[in-house]
Amino acid sequence: MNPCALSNHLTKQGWVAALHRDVWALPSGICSANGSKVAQRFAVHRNNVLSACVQALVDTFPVTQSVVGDDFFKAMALAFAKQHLPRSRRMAFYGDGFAEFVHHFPPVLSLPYLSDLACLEMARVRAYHAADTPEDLPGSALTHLHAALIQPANLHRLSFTLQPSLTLIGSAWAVVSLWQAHQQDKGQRDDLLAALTLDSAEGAAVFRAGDAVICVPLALADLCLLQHLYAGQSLGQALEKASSWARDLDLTAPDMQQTLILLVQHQLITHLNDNPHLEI
Amino acid sequence: MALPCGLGIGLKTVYVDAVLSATPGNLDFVEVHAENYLVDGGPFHRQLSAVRNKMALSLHGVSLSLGGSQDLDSQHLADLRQLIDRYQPAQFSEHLAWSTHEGHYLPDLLPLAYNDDTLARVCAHVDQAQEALGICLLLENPATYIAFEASEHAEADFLSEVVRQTGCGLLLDVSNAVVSCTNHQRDLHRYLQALPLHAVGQIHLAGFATEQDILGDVLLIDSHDAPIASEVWQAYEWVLARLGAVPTLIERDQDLPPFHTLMQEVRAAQGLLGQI
Repeated sequence: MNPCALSNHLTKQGWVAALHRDVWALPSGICSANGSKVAQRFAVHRNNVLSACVQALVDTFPVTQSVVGDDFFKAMALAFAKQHLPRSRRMAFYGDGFAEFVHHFPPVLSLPYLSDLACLEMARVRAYHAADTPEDLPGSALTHLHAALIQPANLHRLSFTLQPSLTLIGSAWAVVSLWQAHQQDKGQRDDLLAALTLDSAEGAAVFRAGDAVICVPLALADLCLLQHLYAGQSLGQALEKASSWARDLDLTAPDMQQTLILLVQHQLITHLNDNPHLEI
Repeated sequence: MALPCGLGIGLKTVYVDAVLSATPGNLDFVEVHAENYLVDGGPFHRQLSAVRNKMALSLHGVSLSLGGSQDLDSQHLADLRQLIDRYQPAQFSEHLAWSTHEGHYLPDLLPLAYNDDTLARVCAHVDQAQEALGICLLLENPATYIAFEASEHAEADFLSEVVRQTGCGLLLDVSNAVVSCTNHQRDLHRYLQALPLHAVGQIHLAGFATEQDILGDVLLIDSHDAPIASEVWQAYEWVLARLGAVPTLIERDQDLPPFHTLMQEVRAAQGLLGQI
């Protein structure tokens, strides 16, 4: 790098620091035509960068924002932005690390469910932008499933590839009910929130159907069953593991029929694989 | 396919239905920010495909960082190429600015010093982008607030030289010209005249915010959140009188008005284009 290019490069390093850090010095070598203080002018860029980051989080986490209030959320988002400048141009996904940040953010340690709520909202954004499923695949998967159901003895051998938009959410807190309550108008929301027991584990499947992102609440054992299926295990293996898990925790057993209905009804299966070597 | 010599708006989700049902002739093209479509699937692509089937498209990049001191991101170029191949935009434009450095993305259009070193780098970047994207790029004049002690060239001369060396075109953002000339106390007409006007492929018109700096002088902020100001309309007429009709975009990114309100600005610009 020649000296001029090196100086240009170092100037940019100064800019990056000054654009997001709490304690910052103006980058060297900048000036204004009228001799006015350059700090005010530089602040336009600092504001552009940080407000674009905050806005991306506002767009992604409307319910999280609603729970903590607009001003607090923006302050929390700004704290995140100052620590985590975007690493990607895809600002739609800038919120990827936000739930983890919220989990450790001291001012909200008294809201231990907030991080999982943010996870659910991030899953919705991911689902919205996820790859489309080729239109013929769900239909053909359905035909295969139908054929398999005719021979239920072989059902346990099946494994599935599930829709790319699907995320399975599990939380020790009632974040699914909390999120659903915030989809209602104010009167109904307040009633739902008043009746909500937050200290209650919940699960959900988040996925896209057409243009809409859907959030379907799941019983915990069904969530466990789906998680094993999502990981590629056969229906027999997944059911056995989910049943054992539910027994250990004294939960209702997984409902294979309901789970298959959910998968078929929402066309969540994109590929169906028969594993004839599998015997249980 | 060339961009129709008419009017376009920035496509936002809230405008998609109205754009799809717009009477032909009322709107000639739309522009989208490329980065918003760097997603795998979903409604954004479905909507853009539907709109693209109806009218011409201008693809506008905001993060290529042509003014950066590091190499262009080859993965980003590949992603852009995929978008260009898929949607066949009539034009692709980017900014004389930088927004990435050492793995960080700074969501803003940051200014650069104008000297021989940055000129060589910007030209190399424009060459590389045009080669990778298979399209003649339009380079947009920036809205700036500060200047650099290390600058050796006037902005208009710098842009002229980039156009001359790379064969790229100019996206003349009239609002940016007004903003920068006000902020740097330059003469607007002298600045516009010094630009490579022969290479203008598209014009942008947008609103800005007005503040005061610490000395009480006006500081304009390129905010895209307000109606187009009278100074911009006047400068647009001045440009049209010299260039003739040029495809023109009404650029609005914040505080989006109802579609019919935005279309009032479209019709105002159509009126001026029609007088040429």
